[in-house]
Amino acid sequence: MAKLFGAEVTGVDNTGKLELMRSLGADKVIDYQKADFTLNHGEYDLIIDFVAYRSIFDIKQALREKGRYVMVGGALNRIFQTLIFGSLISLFGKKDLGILGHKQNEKDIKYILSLIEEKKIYPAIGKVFPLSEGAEAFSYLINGLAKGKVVVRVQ
Amino acid sequence: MKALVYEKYGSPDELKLEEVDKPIPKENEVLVKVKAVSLNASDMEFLRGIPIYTRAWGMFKPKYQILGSDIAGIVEAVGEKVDHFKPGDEVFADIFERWGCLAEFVTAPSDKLVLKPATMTFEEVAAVPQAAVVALQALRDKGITERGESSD
Repeated sequence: MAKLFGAEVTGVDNTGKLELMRSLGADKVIDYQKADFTLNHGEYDLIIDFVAYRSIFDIKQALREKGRYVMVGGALNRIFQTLIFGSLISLFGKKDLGILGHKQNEKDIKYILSLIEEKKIYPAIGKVFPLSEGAEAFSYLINGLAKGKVVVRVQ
Repeated sequence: MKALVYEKYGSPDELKLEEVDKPIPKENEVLVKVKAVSLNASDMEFLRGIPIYTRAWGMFKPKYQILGSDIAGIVEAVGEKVDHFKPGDEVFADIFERWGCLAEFVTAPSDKLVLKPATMTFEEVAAVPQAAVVALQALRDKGITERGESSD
């Protein structure tokens, strides 16, 4: 989706997921076990963070001037850090750091369906589990094994 | 009906397949026969009760004991004030803040449901709502286009 918006995309994840990210259109991939993207100082316009393992101060260094950081998920201490220091950094600098709470709405869903219809994006499904193996589906996701969405088939 | 139930926060070991009452739709709700559910990071968070925001829905134990919010299925019945869906319609939705999808049936607010495109499978369309909307809103509302700095 970021490619559709015209971005040059770098994906950061573990070794097992890099190939999927390339296939989804990432221009560059970084294995976080081998390299530290926050050392690419001033490299990124937008960082979207789904895990929030890294300190907001390290992330700030990787942003360009006027760059933005969006945290979508993460541990409690990182959430507080982003809430408190993110606002301060945003206040005293040109970089904007904040948290996204998503809001479902029909307009966005319809737009996404139109992108799928036009074959510009597609839902990447990693693995499908039956409902009777629901606990295994959660373990698979929690252990970082999912390459794409984990789906539970019910009936 | 069968449902994947958890009674306390913790690991996936807390999830048990149990027999529970089939829900009854209120006047503005739709009863959906669940075909597929996709899991999100939010489901993991609510299973563990970490981070702390999850405890707004149950401080010491989960208020909603069935997880799953990204759903695809078939309309089984509609509440008396629902006029834009009928039994047999194929639908999908993200019913975050309601959950309950990891079950054979779930009730959903009718204004959250969207008709499933015939070209997509239940599994494909269940994978879409939360992940794609988060991505879109992160990119569009917080990011690139708002600043007009796409590299095209």
